[in-house]
Parts: sequence; C-alpha cells; structure tokens
Amino acid sequence: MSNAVMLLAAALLPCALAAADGATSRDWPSYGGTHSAWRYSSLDQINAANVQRLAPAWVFQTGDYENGLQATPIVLDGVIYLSTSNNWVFALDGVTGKVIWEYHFPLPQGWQSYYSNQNRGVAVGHGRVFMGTADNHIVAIDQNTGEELWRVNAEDAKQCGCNITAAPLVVKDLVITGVTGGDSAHRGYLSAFDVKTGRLRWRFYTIPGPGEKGNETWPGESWRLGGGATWMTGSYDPDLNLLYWGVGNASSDLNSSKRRGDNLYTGSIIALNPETGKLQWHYQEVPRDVWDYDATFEQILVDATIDGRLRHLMFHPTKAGYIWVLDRTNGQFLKAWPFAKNINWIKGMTEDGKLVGRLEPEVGKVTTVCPSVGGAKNWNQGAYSPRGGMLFLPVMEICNDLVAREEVGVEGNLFTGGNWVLKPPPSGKYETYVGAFDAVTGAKKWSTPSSTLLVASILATAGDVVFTGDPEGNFFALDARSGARLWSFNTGGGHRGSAVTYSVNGRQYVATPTGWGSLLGRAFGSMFPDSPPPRAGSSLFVFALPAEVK
Amino acid sequence: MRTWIGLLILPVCLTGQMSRTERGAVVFRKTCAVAYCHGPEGTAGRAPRLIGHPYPENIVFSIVADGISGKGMPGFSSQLKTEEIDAVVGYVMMLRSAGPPAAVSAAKLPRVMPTEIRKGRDLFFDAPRLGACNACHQIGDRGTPAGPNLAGHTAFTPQELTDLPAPHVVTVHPDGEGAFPGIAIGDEGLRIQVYDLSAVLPVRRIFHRDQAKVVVGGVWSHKYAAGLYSSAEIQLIGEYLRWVK
Repeated sequence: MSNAVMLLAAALLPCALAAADGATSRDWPSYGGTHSAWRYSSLDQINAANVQRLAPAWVFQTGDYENGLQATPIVLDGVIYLSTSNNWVFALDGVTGKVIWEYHFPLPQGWQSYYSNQNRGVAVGHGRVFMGTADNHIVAIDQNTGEELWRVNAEDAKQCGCNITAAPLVVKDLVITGVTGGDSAHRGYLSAFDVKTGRLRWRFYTIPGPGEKGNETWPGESWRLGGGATWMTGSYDPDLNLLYWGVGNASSDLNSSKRRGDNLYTGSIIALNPETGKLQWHYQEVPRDVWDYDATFEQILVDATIDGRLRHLMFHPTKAGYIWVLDRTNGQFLKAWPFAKNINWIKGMTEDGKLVGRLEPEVGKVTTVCPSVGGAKNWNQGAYSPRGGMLFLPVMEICNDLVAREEVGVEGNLFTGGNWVLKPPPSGKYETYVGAFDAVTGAKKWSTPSSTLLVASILATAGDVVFTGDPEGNFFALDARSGARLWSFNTGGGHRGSAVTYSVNGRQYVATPTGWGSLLGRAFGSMFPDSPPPRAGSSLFVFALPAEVK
Repeated sequence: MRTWIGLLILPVCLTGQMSRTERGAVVFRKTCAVAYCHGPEGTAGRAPRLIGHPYPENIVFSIVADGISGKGMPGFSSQLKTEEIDAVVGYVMMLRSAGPPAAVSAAKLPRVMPTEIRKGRDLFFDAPRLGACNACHQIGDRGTPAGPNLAGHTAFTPQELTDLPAPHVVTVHPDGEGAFPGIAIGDEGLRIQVYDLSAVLPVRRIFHRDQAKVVVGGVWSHKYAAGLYSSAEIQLIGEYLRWVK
C-alpha cells in the first residue's frame, strides 16, 4: 500500500484523527519535537522500505563521559545544540559534526547532586540557548557565539537538595523550567524567566502555601517539604494559551502518615497561563501518592475523536502504568488505560478516574507493588504517530518490595520514607519492550521485546519507522505497522537518551545520543547480574542513507 | 565479644547530654571507623579518608543513608536510627573542615548554634519566602554572593532596612534596554559582569564592553526583602548575623 493510500485509509477510519501540528519537519525545534510533545517527524526519506541501508554519517564525542548522555539534541537550520551531563553545550554542524562553538558551565569543583549530574537537553529561542544546571542555575547562551549572557540561581542547591536536569521550555518571551527534589524534603515549583534579561517573571509552587487553595490538603507544616518536583519538561498549546506541566510524587515518598490528605498538586497535571503563572485547571491522577509514581512525564497533545466527538486531548503516560486521557481545555478526565501488564497498586479506577483498591506500603512490613518506583515507563519519552493514531511506548515490567519507615524531613536531605528493592514480576523475569497502542482505545497492536532494560526515548516518523536504543548499545529501527525489526547498529554505548531526526539540503538524518548513565541505570547490575554492564560514554551518532539512495 | 558490647553501652548511654557532633563521633567509631573502612577519626582505612572531604551535607546524608552502589559503601538507613544518621552526618561534616589529622582537636569542633540563633538562621534561609536574605547574600557556602557579606552585621527594623544606603549599587545602561540597578562583579577582558537587581532573584549578566555602560550609584532599596519579614524576625536575623561573626 502506498503512503498516500494509507493516509487516505486512516482518514476514513471512524476514529479518524484530526490533522494537528505536533509533527516536526526539517528541524527538531523543541524537547518533545514540537510543544505538543509527539516525538514524531513528517520526514519520510528514510522509511520502512530503505532503512536497512541506513549508515553512519558522522560521530561526535563530547568528552564528558560521566553519567552518560541523556539529552535530546535540538536542531535548527542544520545546527545541532547538544548538552551533556556536566552542563557542557555544543553547537554542531548537522552535516559534518564540526564544532561551531562550545560552552562549559562552571559547576563547583567536584559537584555531585543526589539527582546525579545529568542533563536532558537545552531549549533554543530568541537567539539564545537555555539550559538548567546540575547546581540549579538556569543559563542563557548566545545562539551564534556560545557566549554566556545571563545566569540565575533558581534556589541554592546546597540548601534545597534539588537541581535542574530537564530541558527548559521556551513559551513566548519566557523560558520555563522545573526542578528536581521530589525525593528530598523540598517544596517543588515551576519558574519562568524573561528570555532577554533572566529576570524571574513568576514562580508557581506546586504545593500551595498557607492561605492558598489546596493548602488544606496538607496537614500542619507538611506542605513545606512535601515534594512535588517538576523534573521533566511540559507542553504548550498556543491556541488555548495553556502551559501544561506534570507534577511529581509527594514526599516522603512511601510514607504518608504526616501528610494525610490529597496533597495537591502532587501527582497532578497542572495547566497554567504562561504569562502570569496562574493556575487555570488541574487534574490529580494519584492523590496522596505513596509509590513514587511521578506524574512528570510528557504530555502529548492531540486533537482526536473520542466517543464520537472531536476533542482537544492530552495523553499522559506515567510511572503508574496508565495513560491518562484528559480534555486539555478543562482537565476533564475522559479515561485511563493500562499500558503495562503488571499493575497491582490499585485494583482499578471508577468511570470518573477515582482510584479503587489501593495497595499501600506499610511501616516495617514488606509489600510487593507493581510497577516499581522506576515506573512501567521512566522519563524517557514515548512517541505519538498520527498515522493510525498510535502511541509507541518504552515499557518496563518491574515490581518492587516496599517497606515504609517513619522519617523526619530535614530540608534538602533525602526524604523517601522507606526503602525499595526491585524484583521481577510474578512471571519471574524482567520484561522490557516497545509497545504500540491505539492512543484512544489502548488496544495493543504489537510489542517487540528487548533484552534487558529499555530506557531510551522513542522516535517515530512518517516513513513508518520507529527508532530507539538498548543498553547493549544497539540503535535499531522497527516497522511502525508490525513491530518487525528492520535495522540495527551497535554504537558501543548504552542508550539512555532521545534520538531525533532532521534534514539539511534535502537529506534526512537521524541522530542518537549514546552512553549509559542515570540513577535508574545504576540499578542495572542488581537486576541483570549475568549481563555485562552497559558501556558508559557520551557520543552523538548521526545516520543517513547513502547518497545514491536518497 | 561481651567486652565489646560492654564498651559500646557506656557511650551510648551518655549520648543524651552530648552535642550532635559528639554523638556522631560515637556512632562513627562503632560503625564507620571499624574494620577496613574509614579509619579512626576519618583518617582513612581501605575506604577514603574523610578529613577535608568536599561533600555538602545533603550528599553526605544520602551516602550514609543509601550507600554508593558498586563502591562497597553500604547504606545505613536500616541499621541506624534517623537520629544516629543525623548525628554521624554532623560528625562527618565536622571532618570536612577539620583539615589535616593533626588539627583534629576540641578546638576544631564547631560551635553549637543556640536555639534562639537558629531561629534567625532559619529566617535568613527561609525557602517559602521567595527573595529571602539568602537570595542575594552568602553565609559560609550557602546563598548567592550578589550582595555584601553580612557576618557581624547588626539588626534593623524593616523601615531601617528599607532606608539602608546601598553604596555598592551601580546603574547599568545596556543598549536597547532600560537601565537597571546592579552590582558590578568585575571585568573580564572585553566583557562586563554585573548582578541585575531588578527582579526577586539576582541575575548574573554579561555584556560586551561596547554594549552597556556602568555608572556609579543607583536607585535601589531593600524594600522588597524588608516586606518579607516582621520587625521581630529581622531582629532575630540580626542576632544570627552577630553570632556568625
């Protein structure tokens, strides 16, 4: 079937998805591709019929080999902007890999954050490159020269035990960034800075203070250190002028004895006016979280027909193993469907999204809960393809034994309220796979297993190819329609980053970061003692079709 | 074995009257200094020497509680009580500034901060108050060093704080942008660095010399920060600053 016929067929389906603008084309302008966070490109020069001929075009070694390479490269006008774990930034020629400029943020000597020195990417806009740092600064760099223009300390990292690992989001004349600290005694927030001057325009605390609506969901002083990190990147709908961000777990993670209440706005999606930072709506997925089920991951914005009505939707995957489907105009819960097989933290949900049959950890007693604190999916993003309305997700079937403990929160210190030990699901074997689902119905179309731990992001394209990488170093392509493995290349370094695609002078490229690292990555040895540890490193591999094929 | 237990009971019974550092030293000797690990008083065994280590307190806490996987350092969160972990972290932080082994003595033990002084300290660094003192001033290694070092400064009322002269403040005139009050950090060849004081958090900004002009003197006051605190709170902060000196 030709692409045109397939598109026509998709358009005639009863659940047809409206045309939307979440696809990238020549550039990869923002963390999730576009502000709709699809991680989907309309480029189709590389496609399911010719991907077998994909070959390396060039490789860039960053030289920053600590903690791997987790970034999403940003690509604009043939220039790649890449950040590394210790906050180095490179501007690279997208055709040759030649360094145009490089910038090293001056982290304090020997600086190590509990949340690990790692960085998931920059944002580019208004002639500036913006990055959050391992010591909780936000810095602006001249896009053309690599010279630093301004930096602000969002909060003293030595005091808050927090930092910034996520890519910022540029909306209008603001650069918006979240913060880690959700497993610490810390109160989370989102900050918006003026792109030109760095001046703080607004800060939205994810835990309301005294006198603010929602503070009543936190007994006593528990609001002060209740978590609610915003440690991944949000989305933005310019038509509705709404900024969406996911808010992480409440602290202490596994013990809610000092915070009996819903703990707003942890475990929630918040929608803010980007100019003012004022809350427009919120939807809390997990009230009084006791499983470390961060709700911070990507919010995928799609206009689609559901129950016979075209709606502005948000698909939201979290650690908890569900895709929440919300009406993004007002936060109305429409449905939630499970994407993992091993889920026992709840027995299910009511039609209006209330959790039923919570299995909570207890003090001094082991409770086996699935998914684990690492999630049925971690921060590494899935992809949405409008070709058939598919979601491609990196799924992990991992459980854990939880033991809660009483703990006094000390500002900036870890505040987990318990311990966890990862363990396989009841089948006795850890499972990890790329799962392809109908985004609206949740019907699984196919799943393609991987050997150990699939924790790289997924890239989907109009060429019906799905790309991702594994810990063993293989960067591979699957057929988006069947899950069949079409191509693989061993980069030698474990994959924990986010591949992108772009084109320069009519030639399509696929770029993937490689190099193992991250907190979850450190658990590999305990989960797979018989497998060789994934290789560290910090390189960008860029592929293209041989010239005669394109 | 019984003799060992007897020896351990005595210090543990005494811990009620001891400072955090002293209690931490007891825990350290029986837990961290033993066998092949960190050695007596942190002087190193097979595990690293801890005297003069570079880690901030939150990192030390997480290492003690959760260990370092793959490095042989176990987590002690299930073995030690929260108070014991807190105490040993206090002791290890003392070791950080203890210098070479010969310098470890009673004189090197940090002063214990009295409860009243701690109130002032907590206000100085109070996280829920966006733009608290530490947003622009540094004490020890905490806070942002935009404004002057305040150790030993006396107390003010909010009005006195608002009216306080700010002789360090300059006026920065960038090209294509309104002038703003700032603090000059220094010149770096052809570039000028300043703290921009016009928002709640100071912004460290860099200009090419031909892109901005810096003029001595400027209009700026502590009005915003003064508004975050009551008179009594500012009094407490002052007492803390005197104590720091």
